[in-house]
Amino acid sequence: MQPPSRVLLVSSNGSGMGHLTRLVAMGRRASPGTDVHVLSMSSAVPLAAGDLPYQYVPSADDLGIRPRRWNPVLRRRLGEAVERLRPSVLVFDGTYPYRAVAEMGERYPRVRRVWSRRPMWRPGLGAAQLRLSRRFDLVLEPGELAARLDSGLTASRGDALPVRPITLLDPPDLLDARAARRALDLEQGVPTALVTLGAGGWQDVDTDLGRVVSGLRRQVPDVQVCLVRPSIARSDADPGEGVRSVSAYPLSRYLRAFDLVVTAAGYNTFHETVAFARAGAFVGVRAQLDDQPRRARWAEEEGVGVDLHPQEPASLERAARLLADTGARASAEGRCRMLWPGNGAAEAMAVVEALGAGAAVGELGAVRDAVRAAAAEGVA
Amino acid sequence: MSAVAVVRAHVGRALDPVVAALARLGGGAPPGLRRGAGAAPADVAVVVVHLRAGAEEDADGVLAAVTAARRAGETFTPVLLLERPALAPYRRAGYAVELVGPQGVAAAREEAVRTYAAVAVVEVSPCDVESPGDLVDRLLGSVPPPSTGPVAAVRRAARAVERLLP
Repeated sequence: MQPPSRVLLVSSNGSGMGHLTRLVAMGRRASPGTDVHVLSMSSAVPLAAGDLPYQYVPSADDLGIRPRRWNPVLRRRLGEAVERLRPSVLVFDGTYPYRAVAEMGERYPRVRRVWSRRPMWRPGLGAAQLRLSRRFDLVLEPGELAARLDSGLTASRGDALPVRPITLLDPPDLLDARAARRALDLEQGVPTALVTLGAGGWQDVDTDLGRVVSGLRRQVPDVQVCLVRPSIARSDADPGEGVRSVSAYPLSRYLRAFDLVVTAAGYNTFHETVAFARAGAFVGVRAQLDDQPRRARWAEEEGVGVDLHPQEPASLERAARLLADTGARASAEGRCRMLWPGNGAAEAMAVVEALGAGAAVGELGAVRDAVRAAAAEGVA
Repeated sequence: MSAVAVVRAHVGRALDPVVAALARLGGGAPPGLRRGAGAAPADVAVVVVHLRAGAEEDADGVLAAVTAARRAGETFTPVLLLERPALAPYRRAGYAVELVGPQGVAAAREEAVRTYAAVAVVEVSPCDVESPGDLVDRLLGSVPPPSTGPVAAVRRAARAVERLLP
């Protein structure tokens, strides 16, 4: 009997949970014979890994130490994990492969190495890490809805195997609107917005979060604004009337509770919002490498939402109109359904499994296409 | 690779054995290692505070004892090793946190000692948190006297050089 295939998913610690979530999305869709383990530098891994066995390695940033002290630690711990688990494939998701990951080929040549490399990099940035692409057997590219606006260095390379955009959940995994509001203890029948902008207290109108909350409340008087709990915790005051706190993981399971999703245009939340046909107001936060402003611009150009600039009253008004106007929301939701190509997590995992089973890189496109075709038949 | 990077790499390779030898003599936390909210980085010994299963539930109690001990003499930097995934309150308090993984408790302790060149491991069981004074004493008692004389001077010099490296 052939031993079970084993895949080690390794994620860096980005500014959110995107890298880890993409990997878990893939791991959840592994074949029954595949054993999946997660090693992550994200402290959210106990929550995000779900049923997958995991290991947490604090990042250099978490510890406050320099890379030259941290790299040997990762090298040792990653090596220990590889020797203990003996995976056939290691998949790294992060914007910059750590030295310990890049050197895996020399240390463990039998382990096939995949870089899950999200596209949409800010123009001109990232040349150094792109040179590390050749240290991997395969570069897998999670799909990007806003690809036509991608002017980053990965856009013209052609060295990656693209899959459709990856989201943790599929539409059938979501609760319907009524059940989701009940589960989150929200009022039924009133315009409801989820606001997940990071920094600031919601009562501080000098922050983006404060501007958005006050703008929506001013222009849509009966609105129910929902903030994720950490945003509430940063404020000394209790949430006032019309401002509610929500806490759930994954929050995307409850996305249908919200008529409008106001969020940074990071890969995961952006693609989830479109995948689950929610009207969105996307803030293009200036991230280190992720080109969020172009993603937000794409959303407005394609009619799936608003390119939100919280400091500009006109863009706040557009977001409020989208929330209050049922017809505008229905139009945005329709555009989302039209533009969403389907979740690429299963085809990405199938490609990884095939690589682990000995498939040549040149055969992997056919593996992806077969999974995609089977999924299309299932839908039909 | 730029000339500066090459020089830094050479300096780093020369420095590493010195740092390792100093760590064996006791102390030598990685420069910059988080020491708890409000505490400045310092070249003091690292103590692994191993929270046995259940002890992590009283995060306020554990943090109060650890913070009190740390402030009593500024003689050590704690690294918290948890058996259960309740990382958030300890990370919020600004401490370095490790989690026992699938390799097991003994291996995780060994790895934490190695990573941080820790001088001691102090185990904290759930009932220890009920008598915080004793826990503070145990934490302070686990730290050997700081090295003095030439060793301390060499360590200060090594840390000064290391701050210039990436």
